[in-house]
Amino acid sequence: MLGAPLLFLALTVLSLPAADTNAIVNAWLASQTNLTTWQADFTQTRALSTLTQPLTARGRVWFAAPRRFRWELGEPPQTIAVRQPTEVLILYPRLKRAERYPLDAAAGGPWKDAMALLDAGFPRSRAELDATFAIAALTETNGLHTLSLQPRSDSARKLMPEIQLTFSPRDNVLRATQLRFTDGSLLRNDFTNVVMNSKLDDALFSPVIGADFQVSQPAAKGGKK
Amino acid sequence: MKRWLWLLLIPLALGLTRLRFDVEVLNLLPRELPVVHGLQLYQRHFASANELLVTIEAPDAERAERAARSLAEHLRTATNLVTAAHWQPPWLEQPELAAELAAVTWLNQPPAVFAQLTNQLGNPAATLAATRERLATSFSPEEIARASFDPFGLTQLPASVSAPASFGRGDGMFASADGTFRLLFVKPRGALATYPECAAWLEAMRAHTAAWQRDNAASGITLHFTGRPVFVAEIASGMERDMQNSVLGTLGIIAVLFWWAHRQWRPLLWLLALLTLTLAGTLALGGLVIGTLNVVSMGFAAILLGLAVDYGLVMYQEALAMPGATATEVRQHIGPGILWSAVTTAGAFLVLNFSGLPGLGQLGTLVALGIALGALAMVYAYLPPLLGSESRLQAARHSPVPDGANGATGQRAVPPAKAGTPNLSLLGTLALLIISALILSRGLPPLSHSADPLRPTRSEAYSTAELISQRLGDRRDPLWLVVSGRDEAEVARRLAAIHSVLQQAVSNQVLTNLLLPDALWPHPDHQHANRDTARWLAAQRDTLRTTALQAGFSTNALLLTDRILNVWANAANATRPVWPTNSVSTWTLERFVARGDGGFLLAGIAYPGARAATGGNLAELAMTLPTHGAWLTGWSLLGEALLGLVQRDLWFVLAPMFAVLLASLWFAFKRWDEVLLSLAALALSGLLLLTAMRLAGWSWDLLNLMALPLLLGCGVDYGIHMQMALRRHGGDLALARRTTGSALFLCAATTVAGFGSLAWSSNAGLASLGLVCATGVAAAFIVAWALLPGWWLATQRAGDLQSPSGASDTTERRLQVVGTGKPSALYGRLGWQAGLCAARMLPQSLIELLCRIGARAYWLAQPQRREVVIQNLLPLHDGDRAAATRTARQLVLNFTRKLADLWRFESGTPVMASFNQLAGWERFEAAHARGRGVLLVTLHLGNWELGGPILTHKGHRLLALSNPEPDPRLTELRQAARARWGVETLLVGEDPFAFVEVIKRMDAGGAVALLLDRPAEKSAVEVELFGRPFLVSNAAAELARASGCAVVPVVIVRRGDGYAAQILPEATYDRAALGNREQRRVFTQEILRAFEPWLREHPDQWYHFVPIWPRG
Repeated sequence: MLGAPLLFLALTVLSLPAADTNAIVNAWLASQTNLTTWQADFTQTRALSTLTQPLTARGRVWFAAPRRFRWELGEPPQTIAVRQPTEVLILYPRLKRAERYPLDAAAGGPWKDAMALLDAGFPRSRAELDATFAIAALTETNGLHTLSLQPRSDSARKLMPEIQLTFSPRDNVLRATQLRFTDGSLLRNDFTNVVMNSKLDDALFSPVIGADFQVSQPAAKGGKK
Repeated sequence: MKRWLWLLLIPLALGLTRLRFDVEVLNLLPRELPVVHGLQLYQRHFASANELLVTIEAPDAERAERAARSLAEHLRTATNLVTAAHWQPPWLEQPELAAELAAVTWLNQPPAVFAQLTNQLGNPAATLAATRERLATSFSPEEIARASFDPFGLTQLPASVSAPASFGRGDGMFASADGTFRLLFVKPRGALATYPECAAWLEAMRAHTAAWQRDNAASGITLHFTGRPVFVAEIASGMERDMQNSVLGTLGIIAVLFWWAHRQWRPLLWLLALLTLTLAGTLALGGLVIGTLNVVSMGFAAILLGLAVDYGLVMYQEALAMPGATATEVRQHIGPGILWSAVTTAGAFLVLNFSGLPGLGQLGTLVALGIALGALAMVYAYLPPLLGSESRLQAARHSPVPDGANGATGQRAVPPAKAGTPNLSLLGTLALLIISALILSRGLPPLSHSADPLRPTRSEAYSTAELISQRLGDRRDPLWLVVSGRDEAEVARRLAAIHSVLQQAVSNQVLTNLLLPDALWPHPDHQHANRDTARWLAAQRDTLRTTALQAGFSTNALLLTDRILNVWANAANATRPVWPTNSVSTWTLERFVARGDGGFLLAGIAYPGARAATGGNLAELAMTLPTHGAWLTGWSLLGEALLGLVQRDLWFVLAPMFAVLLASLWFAFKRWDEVLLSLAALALSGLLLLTAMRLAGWSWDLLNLMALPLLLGCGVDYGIHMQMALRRHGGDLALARRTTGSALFLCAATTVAGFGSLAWSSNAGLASLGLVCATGVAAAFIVAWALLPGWWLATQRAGDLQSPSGASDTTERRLQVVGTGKPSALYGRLGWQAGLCAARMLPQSLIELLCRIGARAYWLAQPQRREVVIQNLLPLHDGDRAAATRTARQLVLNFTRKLADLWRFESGTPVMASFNQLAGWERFEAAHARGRGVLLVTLHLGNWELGGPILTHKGHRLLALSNPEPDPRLTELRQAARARWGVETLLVGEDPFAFVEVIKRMDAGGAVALLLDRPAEKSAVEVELFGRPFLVSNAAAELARASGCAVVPVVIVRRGDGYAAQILPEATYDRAALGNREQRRVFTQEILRAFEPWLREHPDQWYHFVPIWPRG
């Protein structure tokens, strides 16, 4: 059943030579240095090994250089992830629950790796990219370039052996990201309505947690409440 | 050696067979304390009771994880050593096995909670829709993973259930937050029941991990070990090291000091051999009396050596001071003193049994046993082999001695000190007081409330355990909650009972982060009530499967659900409480659940809250819980609880100790000023100890507080000995320091060495106890040696310090000042009446036995009085001390018999039958016939009082001249007793006209009896006896001059089973010549000479317990 799409994919994907790869990646990264903000709607597709059909959810994402973002998943938002300089805040509005994940030097573990991967779509330089990832391949499909990256960190690679970034060489705009997990599951984001370098309200990255929210810090020792 | 001593070998052998060692430090503590009992349970059954914990530290998280995984895989290959090795939660490696524990955990919930599942699974489509939404929108990898394989949320327990029952990644137990520190749980193959097994297994594991490090070039990776096998092996090896180091170190110091003092190989080697035998014998006795010895108590060895060697040193010293004496003679002379000293010192250590700490009591018992054994060994076994070659001791005596040495003994003295003046001592005292006050004005040594003294020093196991606590847990010391019960139901009931108490404590901020795994506990009532629900849920299997597949889930997603439903299906038909049994469940349960002490145990964890210390909230909570069969415990609570106990019991130890101390001082000195000086010396020693502790930054803790009674027991001796020496030497400070001071220096140095060697003990408390005791003993010696003599000199009356003119024998001088010129304190009315009563009521055989016991006790208990008797007898034995000692010993026994006979006589029992000889009666008759009166003169020889009944029996009345007794009522008592036999008493010395009355009686032809050899000062005249000056009464000569009476010497001595009365030839005189004083002295000399043969024949019946030979 999966044979036909795979054959189609094989026929349409062209690997680019190494010299071209560097040029294309560098050009894309050069455009990123001018990126101050970025927002888009997205459709997230999760293909899990325990589900026969992928799950999709719609949402919206905001990014502010260098490292702030806000993901809203679901309509209305079921989950909101906000990355702040020192922590990631996950809000569950319907459940009135909030979780804090510190990103300081003392913290570590899968969440820190996961956050590094979520940052992957917005590298600021080639050096920054190379510090975290190894470029596995650059392919072109239907006029879009897909950069395949492998996390350099063992623990991150154990979680996600591969991450793909798809962008348009015409305007160097990020069109999609795809994360492949160790168990074969995939998580793909297809971005639409991309707006770059517009002014974003700071409040987006500093959400107010309602007084009726239960706040926890699951990664802390003992699971502080 | 006496043959009976060989009998000691039997209990020793028996003891060795019973001897066991206990390496559990907590067994030293009083089990009745709830916090102790709880901690014992926790350490024995939880806290990695059977696991080795390996910590892995790496520069970064990836290398740490790689190393942990690799090492775990490597260790799993050692199947002969390891059963399992986990580097991550086992359910992550085998997630499907977690189903069983989840299923049973649900079963343990109250029926209302379990019934929630019927709603959850009763509408599976809605549940699955919610799961799909979570899967689509969750950012949490953990949640996505869980929901993927558990679409019905069966591993997600209700929020009311404690955290351990929820199945997260569980990384917190295995890795620090930054991932650079990881933990490996290794389960050994086999029980590792004994410490040799633990040590061997650990050594093999270390070798195995070292091989892994080599093979994997694991540079930058640091491994540490902890867990019970490490603790046990560490403590056991620490014990061996302590024993070796402290024992060898102390023996070495003893050897050096002995060599420094005596420079003799043979006595030194024999001394060391006996000490070693004493140590071994004590271990055997310990095995016999106690059975299982805690390794911390092994610290007794060094203390024992330091104390027991003193007895050997004293024996050797005494042997040197008694040239030509046999070992038996030396033993008879000094042995009783040593044995009494051993009894008091052993008593001081036995008092530790009142300390509230069983371990310290055990240490005290061992030292006490050892001291008793050591004293016996030194008294009976040390000298015989050495004195067998008398020439060696002679050689020692004549060997060149350095300056300042005592030429009489051959011993080397401490460097000669200037005969310090009182002023110098007082200045020194003042200076020390000022310095101490300045240092202590900043505060006394603090009192530590910590339980650290119970922990080993330099312990990898402890430091690693603390590292784990810091890196993986809370930095605060955790508290553990242990709940016990005979069965599952009782534990469950107790859990329910304490639940509200604990929740209240959390609300009051006494506790925080309470983690009570009650959800895991098989609750029989709940399981029973949940059976029907479980059956219904299991029956939904097909519906659930169909619905899940329709909702897009694969069959893989239902594996966990299937397994859980299987468990519930089985549980629905179970008749006994259901326990999970697979490897993941077992591993998880072992953290919280244990079987032991004939039932079940469950452990929880909590941390002290913000208000834990306020008003003793936490301690109060800990004391409250045991009423519910649960214990709140932890090292932080332990220190506080034990310290409270020790502080409370310290007074039970100190009070009897102080009473014994005061009694000892009083019996030693019989003078309050010297008693007070000793107490002042002890007080200053204590002050110096506090100053030293403050300077060194030491604190009091629950173990070294017990140094106080020990120091009272050990430290007081120095003050006693120094003051006694000063008495003996008439205040000659230099002489006192050269003789007694030298011996005290050796004794103190060995004791300090014994205690001080504990400083290297692997147990922190024992080390602190040793240091404090060593410092205290040193302070006590310094004060006694350097300062106390000055105080003593400053407080003595000038008359006491006069050096006896021309005295060459220090013993004579000693007799002037020791206070033994007074009659014995036992000679009083009450004692006499008790004797009369006993003589009337008890059978003769029992009285004889009591006499023997009494004589033995008196001989042992009255060393000063004994010395007086020996000195009195020395001239009769031409200065042969050994012979005099033998005679003195017999004399004491004869005296008790004499007393018994006298009491019988005075209580009215006829005594004539006890005479087996009456010789020379015709001499009395002849003298009496002259009608001028008869003066019967005798000495304190034999049983002179029995002469009265003889005269009465022969029809004569006797007037006995007597000095007043110490107690007027005793005088009356004895007068009345004599009167019963027709003997009148005339007290001389009180009535100035008594002499006139005697002359009247003589003029009437009467008989008067007079004792010559203990004259009043006014009537004393110096004559010669056995070639030495001797003071006797001139009353006989005076009466002869005044009355012209016949002077007839009489002796009544014990011979065989009866008495022999001998009337000696009359002492004739020229009455006119007696007008001359010198002629009266010569006549007195003649009278006395008549007694010399009798005294030579019966020296052991010449009863004098006060000094009789005048000063030189």
